[in-house]
Amino acid sequence: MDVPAPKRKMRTLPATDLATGFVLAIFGAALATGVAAFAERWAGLADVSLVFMLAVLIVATRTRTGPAMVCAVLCFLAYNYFFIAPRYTFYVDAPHGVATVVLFLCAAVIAGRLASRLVMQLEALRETNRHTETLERLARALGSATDEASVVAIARSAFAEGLDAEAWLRSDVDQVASTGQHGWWFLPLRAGDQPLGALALKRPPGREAFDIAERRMALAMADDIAQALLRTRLSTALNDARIANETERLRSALLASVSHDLRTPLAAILGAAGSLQSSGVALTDADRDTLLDIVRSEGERLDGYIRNLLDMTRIAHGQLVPERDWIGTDELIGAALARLRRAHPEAQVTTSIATGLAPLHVQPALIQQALYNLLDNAVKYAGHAPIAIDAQRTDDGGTRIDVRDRGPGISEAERERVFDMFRSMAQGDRGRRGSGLGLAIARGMLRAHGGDVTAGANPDGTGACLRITLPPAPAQPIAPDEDAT
Amino acid sequence: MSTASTPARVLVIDDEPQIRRFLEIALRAQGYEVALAETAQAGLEALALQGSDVVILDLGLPDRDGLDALRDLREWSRVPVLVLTVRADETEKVAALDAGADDYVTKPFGVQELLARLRVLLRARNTPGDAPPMFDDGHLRVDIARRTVTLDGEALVLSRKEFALLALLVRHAGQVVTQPQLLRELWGPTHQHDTHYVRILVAKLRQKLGDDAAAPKWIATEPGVGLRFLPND
Repeated sequence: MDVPAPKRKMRTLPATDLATGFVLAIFGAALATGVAAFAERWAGLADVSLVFMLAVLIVATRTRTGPAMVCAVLCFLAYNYFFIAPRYTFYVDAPHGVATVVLFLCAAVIAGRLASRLVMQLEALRETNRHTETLERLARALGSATDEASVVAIARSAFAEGLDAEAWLRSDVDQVASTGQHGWWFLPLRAGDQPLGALALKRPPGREAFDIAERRMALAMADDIAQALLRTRLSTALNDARIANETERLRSALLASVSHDLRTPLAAILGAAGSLQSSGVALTDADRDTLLDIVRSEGERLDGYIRNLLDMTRIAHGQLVPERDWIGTDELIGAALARLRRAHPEAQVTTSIATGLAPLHVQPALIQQALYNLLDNAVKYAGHAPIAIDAQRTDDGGTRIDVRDRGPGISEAERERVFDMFRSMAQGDRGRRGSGLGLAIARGMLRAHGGDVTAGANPDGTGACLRITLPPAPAQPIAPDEDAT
Repeated sequence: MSTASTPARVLVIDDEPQIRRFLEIALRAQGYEVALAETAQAGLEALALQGSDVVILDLGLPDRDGLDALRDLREWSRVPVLVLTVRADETEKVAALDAGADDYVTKPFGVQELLARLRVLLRARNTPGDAPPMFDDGHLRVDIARRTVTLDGEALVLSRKEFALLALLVRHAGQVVTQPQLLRELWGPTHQHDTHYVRILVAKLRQKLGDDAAAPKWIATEPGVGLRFLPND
């Protein structure tokens, strides 16, 4: 429940409050005497005593036991002096009069005590409730904290709200005795036996020091904070270990891949160049052309690998945030095909693009690269058999682009794994020439755009079909009617 | 290519000796006169003292930022500049083009590609200065002076903006025109970020020309960079 925290009531009564209590007691007794004198005209002596009783009860609920008792005695004296015959003396002559005043005193004292205790209990209950709520709020807030800085921030605001105290928290201090100095109250943060740091609390000037209940609450809060600190530290350590492990894995896979993928074409280039240089006149023109062609094509292959490595590090570092712009699907396909024709002049590609496709809102160069990687992959697997590009609108208003080849296809078990960066790297380009990282990179680029690429078979069951999907673009801004401008 | 009369002079500014070496051989073989410079400083001096018909400028020079050198050069020279970039993102290419480069080639590049780009730049230089260029490949005929466009002999009705776009591309035939440049010249400096204007306009123009973005005959998109009018030679 969301009860606004009540303003702090005085738990230990300072001198001023105590004095106010006594003033209230005297004032209450005096007022009761006046009211009783007035009421006496219509009421009997017994009823007059009830007026005094009421005064004692009211004072008791407003103050503490001490003033309540004082009020009870004052009322007893006033009742005796002003109303019990003989009047204006403290002397009581009739025996039933003695009984009346003594009984009144006893009743007033007991009622006063009960009333003031009730009030105190209520106050204590409210305080406990407030503490429990503060602790609950703290626990809930700490539950969502993921790092040490947020734990510290949450702790500070909890102490400010719940205890009206400034908090200072250090996690690099090991041992602090729970002592107070310069107005600061130091307490250690521990989880079990493990010291985690230190917490110091200070009330703003003018506020009284912490009482026992508040100290108890502060300790409970410190325990919760220590647990949260321990949890975030463990999870950070775990995460670091995992990242280190993954980085290590990536690094060794990368090194293996680099040394193999880069050296193979390099070996061919050096070999061909060396042959040209040393064999001289013994070579026919055809031989010479072959060797030159090796130098050129292997150089291009090397360039392709380096491109892939660069793209991969771009994605692997995560945080690839596309710089989006509007571009037509047809324009992207045109650009990717122009590149494909330069790299593989022999490739045959047919395209079919649905009319009225909405423009894409993507980083054009990245999606073009992804599409190129799929086309390049298709050429490598399917060779000279025609490749088909098919771009359509999806049911949810997005776009899908299929790249279909007539190659050997991808077995069901492999369909997810062809996009696995580790697997591709570990395999390098053994297996098939240059299967490489292209598909994993395409997936990384598409996922950075909220899209994806998946592998499957063509409808007739032959070859491979790689499908790019992109989510619907936001509404395209409207261009002005151009001839009006 | 002007071979017999006076060979065109090409200034190569690149710090890589092997690149300078093979460019020198390849360009000489094509009949160009070649001058070489290792640094931006030396390159700019050579250009100022001896002049050149076209400059090939590497953006990664040891003595100063290539873009910076390019801006400097543009303050006093209108010589066509072809920049060489290592494959970074498109933004570097756009920045180079906007700083005054006429075209770019990405390293590593094929000599054929480089020579084709050079020919385009030199041809642009050789067209007589004042006469607005004219484009005619037998199908499409664009007469900028008369503001007429015909496709296979039939006159096309283009809107003002469509014609302005086509004229701008034709004037830079073979060269890439960046998105910011298109926006600036067609809509003015306040519309620098409204890139979708270009997309919509070029789609309309392609439709009227019967061009296909997926297999462009005339207007090709370079994703993230801009548009290129293909001279079909």
